[in-house]
Amino acid sequence: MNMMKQGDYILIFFLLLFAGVLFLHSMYNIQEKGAMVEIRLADEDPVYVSIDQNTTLDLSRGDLVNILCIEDEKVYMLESNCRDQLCVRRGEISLEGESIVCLPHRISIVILGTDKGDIDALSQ
Amino acid sequence: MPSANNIQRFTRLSLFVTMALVLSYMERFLPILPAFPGIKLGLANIITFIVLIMYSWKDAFFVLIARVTLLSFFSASGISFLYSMSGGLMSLMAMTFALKYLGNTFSLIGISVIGAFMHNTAQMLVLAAVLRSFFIPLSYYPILVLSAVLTGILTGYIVANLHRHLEKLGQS
Repeated sequence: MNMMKQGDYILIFFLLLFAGVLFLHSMYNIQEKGAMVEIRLADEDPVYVSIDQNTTLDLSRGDLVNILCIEDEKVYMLESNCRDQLCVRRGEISLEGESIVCLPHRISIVILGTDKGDIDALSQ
Repeated sequence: MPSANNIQRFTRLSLFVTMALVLSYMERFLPILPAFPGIKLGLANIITFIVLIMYSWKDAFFVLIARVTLLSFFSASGISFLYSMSGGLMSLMAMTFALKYLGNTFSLIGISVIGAFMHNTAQMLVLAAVLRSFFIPLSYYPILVLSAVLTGILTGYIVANLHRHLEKLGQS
């Protein structure tokens, strides 16, 4: 590709570096087992549930069906009637910082560490 | 009074909108990696970019708005419309600026990478607003940046070649 200029290579190099640094940063954050599960439904205030209990949570609102399972310190979306089923296919999560998102139904689930202070600071 | 010039421009824009629509619709049938939702090749951006280079940002703006609006009739999802629109507008703004002021520094491929990067950055910001959390989109952002570089190079390469050949033909 002799049509590329030097500026292109510099730009691509810095973008890849940027992606790499962000990736390492998030890898560094995701290591420990989580303690709390933060559940956000659309605009409502987040709900916090401990990850130690075995429970099934019905997050359905009207026609929007979502069923979340917490089992053996793992969290997964058992069922959803959303269009893309990405939340169900996401599978089990258990580590701090991991998340399940159901975008069509505006639901997000994040696993937090023991103190949720650092994550709140990030989302400010 | 519609002049011959206006009719020509209107016809040309309609053709570009059609091509962009077909490209974004066809793209859905390409296999995507299930582990990375939301990552696309952005083939429709080829059309936006070529219109921007050969005509004007106004024409490119029209093609973009028409494409995204019409495509939302096929998918019928408010959020995906918001994504495409914010990403497309941000990308067009960045590419217009880069083409005008940074044309000596970057080739068309570099400008396409800038556009793809800004597109994905805008989408990350919309995702953060929709989920009311910066944490989740941020953990996904590195993959978006990486994909922006790769798809930006691809579409930029196509645009550069297409532009070269169209120049040879001579504009109508």
